[in-house]
Amino acid sequence: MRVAVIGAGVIGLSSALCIHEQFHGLVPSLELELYADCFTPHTTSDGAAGLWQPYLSDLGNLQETLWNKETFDHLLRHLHSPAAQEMGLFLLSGYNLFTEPVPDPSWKNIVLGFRNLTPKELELFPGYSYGWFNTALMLEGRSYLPWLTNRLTQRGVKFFHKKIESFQEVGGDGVDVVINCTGMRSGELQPDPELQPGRGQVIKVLAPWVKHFIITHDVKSGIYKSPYVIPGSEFTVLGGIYQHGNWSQENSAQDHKTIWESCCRLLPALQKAKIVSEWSGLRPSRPRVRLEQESIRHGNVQGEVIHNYGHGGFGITIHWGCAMAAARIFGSILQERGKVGSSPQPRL
Amino acid sequence: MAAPKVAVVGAGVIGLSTALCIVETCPSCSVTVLSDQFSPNTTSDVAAGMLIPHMYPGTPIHVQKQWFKETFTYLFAISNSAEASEAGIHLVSGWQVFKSTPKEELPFWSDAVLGFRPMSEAELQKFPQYQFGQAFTTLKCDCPPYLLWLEKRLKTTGVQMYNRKVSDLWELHSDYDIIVNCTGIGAHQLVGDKKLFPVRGQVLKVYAPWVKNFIRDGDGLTYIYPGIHRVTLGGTREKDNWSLSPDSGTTKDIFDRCCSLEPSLQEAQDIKVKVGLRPSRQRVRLQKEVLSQGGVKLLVVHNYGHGAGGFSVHRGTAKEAARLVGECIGALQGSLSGAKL
Repeated sequence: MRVAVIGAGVIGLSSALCIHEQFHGLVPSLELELYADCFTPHTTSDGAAGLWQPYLSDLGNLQETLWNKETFDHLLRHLHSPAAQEMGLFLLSGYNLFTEPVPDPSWKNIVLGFRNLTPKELELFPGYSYGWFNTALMLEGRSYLPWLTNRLTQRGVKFFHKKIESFQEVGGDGVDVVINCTGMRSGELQPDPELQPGRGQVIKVLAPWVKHFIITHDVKSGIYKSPYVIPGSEFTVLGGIYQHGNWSQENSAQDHKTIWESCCRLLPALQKAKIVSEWSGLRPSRPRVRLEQESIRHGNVQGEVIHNYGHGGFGITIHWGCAMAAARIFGSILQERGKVGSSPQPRL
Repeated sequence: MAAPKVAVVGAGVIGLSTALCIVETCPSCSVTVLSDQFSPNTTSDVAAGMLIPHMYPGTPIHVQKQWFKETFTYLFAISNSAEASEAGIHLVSGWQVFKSTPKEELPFWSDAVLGFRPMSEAELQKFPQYQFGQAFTTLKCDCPPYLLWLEKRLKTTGVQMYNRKVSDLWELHSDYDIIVNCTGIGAHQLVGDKKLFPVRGQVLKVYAPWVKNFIRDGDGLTYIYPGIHRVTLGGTREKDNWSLSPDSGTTKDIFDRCCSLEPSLQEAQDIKVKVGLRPSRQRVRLQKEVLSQGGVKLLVVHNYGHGAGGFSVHRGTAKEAARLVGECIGALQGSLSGAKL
């Protein structure tokens, strides 16, 4: 049984790993191949700071909240494992700041130690009158993606550096199932007007004295349009740009100015931070994640595609829950085809 | 009277912060710092510089609380300014965990730090051997940066600093009107204070930049304090041990204890070992003394014996010492104008 995963960002790699972990024992003929024209460190996932935090509101999408929780719990279980450091996984505490009281987020009981900020803490952030403190997780793409790649390579998954132009290109060649994890460029394989770029720009600096994430919110403007500071294991990421519909991946001087000035106002000590690099990326934004099966014809043959794209700015936050959901869909495809018994017990 | 000449002996966090307070409260004073050690070779440089107070059995709690609050407020303002990184001051959050619930669930300083609260069940799950814990946010003074920043501020106000070993306070009486004794463990020899004793601490300073939260065992013996560039792993509390040599068995023991609190530390790199002697005393010696020899008087203000809590109370005790120096100056001026001392 041949399975082709398209895309080598966090979604593609984790979907491949999850499927292989659960089914290689049940399906001895399982052959997993991964196709992408872009690998770490050049994917969208590599540009992200790597902080686990969903958007403020789940918009009633409880399934996504559940996938977020599954991801957090999965990562938390790995925190004390010897692999944690190699994965780029560590705990990080910090602040979410608002100019007015807001309802508690859907994830308040998923993270650790969620609470409101005290008046004294708010003194640190003039202009903000309300906020949260909690401990969450960091999962740095530049470590996690290579780690996932190593696990897949160890399992015999084959990687192909190739731009796929159509589902038929991989589907026709004896591949039974295609997993579509192409993120922002899914529209090139199958038009999807709901998928739009949410352009972001970030400045990476050296500011090792910053030990907390600080995310400000301007509820009227929308997510990520307000400054944020996220300290990684080596660099600190400054951001606060979200431009819906902007496909440019060139760094903008105006955006640089916006980010730098607003972050330095938030944390005056950043004025002394050394700038290391700058990056723009396109969040693959969609009103909801597309995670579903679709049958696609290649001539006489019907192939199955499992779509797993449209994770916006919360790909890392939701990735494992989505990988598990994709694996469940894969399991049901296997069942339909009689490849496994009626109720497969996936091995973890 | 000509500008009073004040000599501050000692250039650790106590000496430098006291000198700075004296300059701030008495601009007309001429202040000189004398020490046989400067950063990075002081006891302060070994310490992590965490603002978590130590309890002095002989000092009233309200006084300790006052000292801590003053220190916290002072450093809080710096951490919030553009100078924070140069001064080495930064906020850090974390957990203090206890294997069994302590008698006192609320330490005296719980309302002086930020966001103090008991840990949740979910948070405690990260520490399987521990029953109870407290989460809070506090400040950390990284050394050498903090000491170097204090030195820089002193220099801009015209304070001279000299590398000199003072073996006897009387060496200074002809050049200075008031001596401020901030010699830490050195006071044992310098003024023969037998109530002062070392509590040896060995620490590891390691490269583990993914550790962003502090973790402290409530017994005070095992702790993980992330600094700007390095994480301090500790430690030991060895009373009356004067040895400044690192002990390799102790190094392994500290590393093992810290790894059981935070397993990812197994991947820590470039382990450096340091030893400091906490200048310990029942109570901080913060008082005036008039020494007398052959009809000559020498005014001394003592500010030493901060033990494990130097950073936590340094600004508070420095301000009090400066106040005592002010009293000495008042007395000197009084005696010059005929009033009795």
